Amino acid sequence: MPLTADDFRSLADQFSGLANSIVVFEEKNPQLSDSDFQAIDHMRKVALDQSDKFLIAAIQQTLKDLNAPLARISNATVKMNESLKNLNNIGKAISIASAGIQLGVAILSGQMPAITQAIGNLVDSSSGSGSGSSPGSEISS
Amino acid sequence: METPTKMRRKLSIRQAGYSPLSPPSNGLSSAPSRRLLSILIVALLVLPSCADFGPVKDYAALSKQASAGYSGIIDDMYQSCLRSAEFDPPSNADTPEKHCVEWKEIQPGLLHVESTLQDYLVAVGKLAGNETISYDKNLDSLRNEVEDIKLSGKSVFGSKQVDAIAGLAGFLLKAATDGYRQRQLERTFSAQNENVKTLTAALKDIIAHDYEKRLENEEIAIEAFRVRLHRASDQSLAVEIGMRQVQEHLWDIEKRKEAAENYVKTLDLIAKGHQQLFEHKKDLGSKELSKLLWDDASEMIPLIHGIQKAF
Repeated sequence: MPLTADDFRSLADQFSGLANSIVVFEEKNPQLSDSDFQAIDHMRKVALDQSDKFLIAAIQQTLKDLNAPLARISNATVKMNESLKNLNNIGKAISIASAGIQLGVAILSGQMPAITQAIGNLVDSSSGSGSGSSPGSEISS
Repeated sequence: METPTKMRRKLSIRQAGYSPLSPPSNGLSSAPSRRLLSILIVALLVLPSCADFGPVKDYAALSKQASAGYSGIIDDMYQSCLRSAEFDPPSNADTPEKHCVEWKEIQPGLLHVESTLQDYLVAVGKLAGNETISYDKNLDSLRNEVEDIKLSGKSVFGSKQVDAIAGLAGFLLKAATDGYRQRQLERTFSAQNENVKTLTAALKDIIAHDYEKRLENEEIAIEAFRVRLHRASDQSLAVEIGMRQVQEHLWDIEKRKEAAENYVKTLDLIAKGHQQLFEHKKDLGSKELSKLLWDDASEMIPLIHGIQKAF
């Protein structure tokens, strides 16, 4: 069974603790000969290096575990930025509103040719004869 | 310059004005416009008022600022390893840079995590704010179009009526875009709350455990150096300078640990704020949410200052 990030963290703690215990031992035993001191201090260095290696392994495992949630958050960011583009394209909604007002005026005037033409204009505006997505439809979705 | 569609539209309405079915031109400019305005006013009354997503925007901006301290911490993981090597030279005679290369190699991955969170918060902030929408520019174009509407060669709407229509259209447009933004944010907070929790929890592990443990290992390396100085029985000036350096470095590490703890607290607040957004997703403009986020922001600001001072 592969080790988890928490397993690596626990190992890093144990080796760091060992290195710390060695330093305390060295301090409490000043009578140690130079050769003994060097031998034990070498062990302290190895323990510290091992602790660092396990810390790095823990981080690498954490990054691996984050791959899926990171991809989902990135995807959400892309979608929000697309939504912003739709909001910026409100000029389209304005042209629909304008065509709507013209239709209203034409209906109230009771003139059939004007009504027919205004309906045509409204359909033109709403059907997205311009480029890009229709913010009108996005806004009401 | 007028578009062909716009010219066709104007021409058609003007032509219609000459129709035998058309009512007398004198009454046209006021009656239809008054009725149309009445319709707009009724629409105005039945629509919900425009939402204020200011607190959501502020949450996003502040959280983004807090996450900026992260890059300093990530760089300090590598720097901490280099500082350790100064006091405790690698046993295999590697250079400090070579000895610490793995701390350097994990930096891009760690920064990617932070930048993903930052990009997300920026997008939330933009969607919650409305600065990106040029209402004025678009409403000016509507105003021009309405002014151009003519029947029997006469303008249908007077200037005050054009202003009123543009004003009402602006309100309706804002209501529509606010509704759209509310829905998009609601969907986002629903779908991403668990992911944001996972991400902030992972970052907490990296900073609260891995970075702080690296600093502890640095402390151990410095303490080992201090023990070696003690063993050098002479009381030379070099030993005294070395002891002072040890103490200064240990104080420095305490400051960095404090900054890391502040960053971990801001991560908690980012996650808590997002949870509040998730719980209030149906009413992102509510006073209750605004109060909760304000409280979070009040806690977050001094923490951010603390992080900025340390790095």
